[in-house]
Amino acid sequence: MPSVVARLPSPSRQAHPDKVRSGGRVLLVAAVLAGALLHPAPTAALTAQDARTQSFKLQAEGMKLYRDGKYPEAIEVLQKVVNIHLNSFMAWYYLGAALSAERRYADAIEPLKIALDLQPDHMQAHMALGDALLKLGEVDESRAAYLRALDLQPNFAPAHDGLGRLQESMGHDPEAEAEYRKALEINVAFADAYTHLGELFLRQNRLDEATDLFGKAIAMKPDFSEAYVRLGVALSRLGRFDDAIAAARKSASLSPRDPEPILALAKIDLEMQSFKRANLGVDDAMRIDPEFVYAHVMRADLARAEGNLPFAVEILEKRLERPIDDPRWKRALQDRLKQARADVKQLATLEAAAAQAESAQPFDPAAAVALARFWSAQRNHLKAASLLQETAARVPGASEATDPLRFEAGLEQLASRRFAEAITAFEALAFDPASPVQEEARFNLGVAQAGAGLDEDAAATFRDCAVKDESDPTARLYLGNALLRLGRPSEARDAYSAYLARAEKGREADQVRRLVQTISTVPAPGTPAAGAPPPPTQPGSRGADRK
Amino acid sequence: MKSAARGSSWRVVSLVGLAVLAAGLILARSQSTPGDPPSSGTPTPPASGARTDSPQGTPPAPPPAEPGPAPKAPDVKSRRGFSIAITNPVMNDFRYGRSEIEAEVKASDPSATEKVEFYVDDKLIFIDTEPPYRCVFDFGTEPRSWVIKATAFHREGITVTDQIILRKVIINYAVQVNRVILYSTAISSKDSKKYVLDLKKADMVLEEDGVKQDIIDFYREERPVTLAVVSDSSGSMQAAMPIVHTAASKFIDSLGTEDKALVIDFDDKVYLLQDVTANKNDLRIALTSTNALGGTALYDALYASYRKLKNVDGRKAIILLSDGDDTASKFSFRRVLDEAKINDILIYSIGLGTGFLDVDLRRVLKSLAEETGGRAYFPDKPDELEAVYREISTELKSQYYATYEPQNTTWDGRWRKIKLTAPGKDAEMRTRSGYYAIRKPG
Repeated sequence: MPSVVARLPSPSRQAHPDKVRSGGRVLLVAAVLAGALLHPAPTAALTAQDARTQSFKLQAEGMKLYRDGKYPEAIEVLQKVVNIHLNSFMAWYYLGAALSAERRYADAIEPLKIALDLQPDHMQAHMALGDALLKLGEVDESRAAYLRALDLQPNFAPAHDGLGRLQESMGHDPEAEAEYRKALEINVAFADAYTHLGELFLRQNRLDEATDLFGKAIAMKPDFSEAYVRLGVALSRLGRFDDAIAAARKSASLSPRDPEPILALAKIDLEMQSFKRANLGVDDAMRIDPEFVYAHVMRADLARAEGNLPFAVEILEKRLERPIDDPRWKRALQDRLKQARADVKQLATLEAAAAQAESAQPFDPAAAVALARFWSAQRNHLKAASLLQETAARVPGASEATDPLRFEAGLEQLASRRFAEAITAFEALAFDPASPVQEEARFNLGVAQAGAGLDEDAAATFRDCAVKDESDPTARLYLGNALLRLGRPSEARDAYSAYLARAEKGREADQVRRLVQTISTVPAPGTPAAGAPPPPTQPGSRGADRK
Repeated sequence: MKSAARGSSWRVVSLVGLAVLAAGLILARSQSTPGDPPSSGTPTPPASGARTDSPQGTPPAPPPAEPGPAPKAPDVKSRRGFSIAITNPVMNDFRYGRSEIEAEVKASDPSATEKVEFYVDDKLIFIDTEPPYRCVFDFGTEPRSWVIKATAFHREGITVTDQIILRKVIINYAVQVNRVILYSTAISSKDSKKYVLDLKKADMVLEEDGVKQDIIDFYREERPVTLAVVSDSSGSMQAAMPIVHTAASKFIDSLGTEDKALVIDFDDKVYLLQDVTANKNDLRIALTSTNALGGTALYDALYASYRKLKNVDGRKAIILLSDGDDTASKFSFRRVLDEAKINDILIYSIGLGTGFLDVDLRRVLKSLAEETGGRAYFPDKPDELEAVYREISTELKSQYYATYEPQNTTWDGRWRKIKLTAPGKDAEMRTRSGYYAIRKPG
């Protein structure tokens, strides 16, 4: 039986303080701190009158706290209410909703079920129950909840959206897409369905479609934090880091108590090799919700990127020791741990091989290169670059052997956003007619120059690439980008047109066509472009030798 | 082919990147009107919009999916005079074990119905080509929800579909391992106020579905009990309140030192005035504070009592006092009776001042008591309450504890009737009417 812990309203609310046991407040504080008691019960008897007045006041307070987004406080107050007013639908429902909002899905089930016992025709309560059950991986029960909502109103878009998420959780992507589309057919302004469909596309790497859908969700609901954070993820995967940061920041400002946007920013920082800032972001997220699984995943990813693989393993192991409601997260964490453990072993093997190769005569760079690529895969591009440079310096002989390594080191510097170093590395190769990687180096010199903000230089380099290879569309695309940034839209349009002439059915062709149209509407030369952006160039494959 | 490095055109893209977003927004706005999804009319928190925290980006991305399936025509129950309805089970019912599913098809020409397909959780389980349309399905013993669908096909190509959803119900009574536990009372057949307290295991005959069972334990239950004292304070109780308070106080005094109780007060709302405690003073304060006003949410109060006692171990009982029919509950009698059958809680019901004309209330209180092995009392006047409470108190101290291992070891979830007798003894045995054959783990 649950132990007897206090209903102890503040003195101003307490009608009969003499009836409260003296130790009650301490007990209540202990219970709240422990977070162990879901439904603390009254210590001392309430009079019928007290019960009515207190539960009425507390219910109003709890609902307000919920609406204000103060979920932990709302939970505390609403738990008191449901322990006094036993058949209050609103108290049970809001309690379940607040627990869900705090990701305490397992705890949310009972209040929501009780709410539905009290009001079986409440569609949102069915939806909330379905959502919580889905988070717990109880697909049959979740489906039943969504279908009950649909039974109450056959064209209830959120229920189709819920069924979409359910199908997605079961790996039935086509069915999920069909459900989301059905939800959107019913309610074209349904921001959640746009976001969920966008998320499905994001997972399928349909990044442009996903970005478009998140934009639509935001158009429908301008304060939709979740859509902004997803948009941030999509944009960062498209390499549009500045936009991604803007979207994630917007999300964080809309939901300051949500760790997810903070982690989205940390992830972008990780991609940009700003480990310190990423770690601070993870700290912030963990302060909000110390158990949030994604925060631990990010912390482990950061540890890996910083070269501390055993620490990554430890982080994941420790989090797995504690309960995780959502089975998908649990699986994801287990997969991460498996990978991290495998990486620890692989690193040991690679380091041993590299040490052995150190003393071999003549020096064989293969082991050192493998180690550098391992670090690159861990997102530690700086370490990879440094290893590759050292290795290149030790390789005897002509540029035939060393230049590919120097080129690869340059790519790693680009990935770690060390543009100046990358420019130095690529310049040395791009202007050496004997270099076997001259052509690639020249192009990436342009990329590094653009990254460093040297757009004039970048434009010149890409123009040079274009002249050297008449059939190459990519240099023309990048040239267009650089020119657009320089505020030379008519020249950019020419470059894009040249790209289209060579890559009519290219991946970015449609986007470039739209862009050309937009540029054509720009009135004055020299005005910064106001139209759509140049197509995001995809992360290139690594050096030719890695294809 | 050139090798462009990751993030090669960040700055260029970011310069105008927000512009594409803005363009997207403008486009989206022109296509639709912003607004919230439809609501049911009740003020609601945005529960369905719980934060998405899927492990985004964590698992490797699968290959792009094929286009989604073609949209299906919506399912309807009735079309052009042709209709179908699932008649058994009904919506939100629960099922364990093998159970019938029945559907009724209506058509101007009954012979025009080609077939009825039955689905459970989207799996076709049976096709029936002639009425009555029915089939049997084994719902197993695991508690869960089920989705049952029946589709009727008309020879002119029309199809109609009905769907119901069964709820998940967890059985709470004490069938542990293979053992059924019963609390029972023996009353003299000559004097209904006299309890028979000297029965032995050898005196007893226990039948389950008409089959005699071997009793393993049978002895007087002297362990403490946990009670829910559920008191009606609806407006109609006003005149009786002082006497109700006195009688209830005396009842509390009669409890054993280790017995525990909680106090629930109800009118059209249900309040817990005191949670489970052995402190008689607290219980008395709670019980004597009630004021009469409002309607009568009798079933809601009972449901709340089940919920409060559900997780209490050992013997437990509800003492329910009411003077009138339910007028305000969200629960139905059927649901409350179901709950009584799946929760091993004795119900002692007191219908105060209910004349013979109050047929409904009497039936309700009697059914609840009989199903659970408790007892219903119908005192005419409040003055008789003290005696009723005394009797309940005595009965709670006069119970037997019995266990047996059913010979039918098929835990198929079906309802099994129990009959306990003491042949050759001057004793009428009262115990719960049966149990659902679900084995509790442990």
